[in-house]
Amino acid sequence: MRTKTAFVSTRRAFAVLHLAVRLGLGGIFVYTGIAKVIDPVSFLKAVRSYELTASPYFLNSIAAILPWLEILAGAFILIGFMTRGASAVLLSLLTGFTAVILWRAIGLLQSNGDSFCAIYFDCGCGLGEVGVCGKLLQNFALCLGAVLVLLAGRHPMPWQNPGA
Amino acid sequence: MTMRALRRVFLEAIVVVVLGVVVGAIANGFSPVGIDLGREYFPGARNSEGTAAPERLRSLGVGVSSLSDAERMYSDPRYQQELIVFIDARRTTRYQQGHIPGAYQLDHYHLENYLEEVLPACQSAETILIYCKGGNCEDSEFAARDLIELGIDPKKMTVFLGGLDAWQSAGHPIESGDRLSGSMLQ
Repeated sequence: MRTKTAFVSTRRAFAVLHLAVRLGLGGIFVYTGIAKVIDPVSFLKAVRSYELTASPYFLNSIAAILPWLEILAGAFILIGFMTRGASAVLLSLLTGFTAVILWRAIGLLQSNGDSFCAIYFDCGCGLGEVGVCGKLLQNFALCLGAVLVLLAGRHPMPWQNPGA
Repeated sequence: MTMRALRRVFLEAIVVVVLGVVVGAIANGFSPVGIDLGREYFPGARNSEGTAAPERLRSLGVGVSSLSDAERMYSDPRYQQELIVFIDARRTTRYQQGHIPGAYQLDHYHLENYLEEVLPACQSAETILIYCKGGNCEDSEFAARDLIELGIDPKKMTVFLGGLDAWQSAGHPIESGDRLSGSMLQ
């Protein structure tokens, strides 16, 4: 009986954690996606600063469409629809974002000579200028959240029967 | 995760991406601030060697102005007669927050919204000074290129590279809101 109670408590605690992570992850991407949609030119300039492509069409497409992909994937995670697929998409985006942010930061470090964590720039994340160390930590935490949601899927809500 | 579950995740991800692309393309097409996918927004942009803005501008036949040049032009009676015209190449939110009094706005990224007012003023002006924020802002250079493409003689254009930051730091007048609103910040 005690073992079953402990199991139910653990499941409920995990359900609370899972819900919090889902809401946080989905909410952050919806928020930052909307910020980019409202001001697409700032996002276009930020994407351009990474020098990923010389093709204007490809550059413009990234700036125009990527924010909507973030909003849709974030919204799906918030409402619990195609949660695993949406979190896989966000995890892929986060991996790419983190890689280019790190690449750009290293480039700025080599040209400016400041310490790594003293580097600030508009990463195109919808939050304006950010410190690179804080941003990398934030992305790492978001990746962990995306992995949790990917593995756990929609998961029962804390108030539902944990056996459901 | 089983193979079946992995396959399902993969399919869901594909659906999310496809939906995102479709929704994004449609929404961008209808958005008043949407991006024109086929447009080159950064013409003649700095190359990997980092050619300096003054060199790029001079290669176009456009002059480069200092703060004292801008001050002299602003004080010239011809500025009131619109024979000297100032162009603010920043976006609307920034322009509305503060600009050099009497400056026209020309947002390079939404050019079509400003041409009706700006083009006649540029055509009749003897000198056109273009500025943006200053520092590494390139929008004044892009606005100069836009005006050249629209048939304005580059010889009467000059870019104030110090921008509004330099103007404001020198304690010169700043007007907020619309052009000639009379609402002065300093």
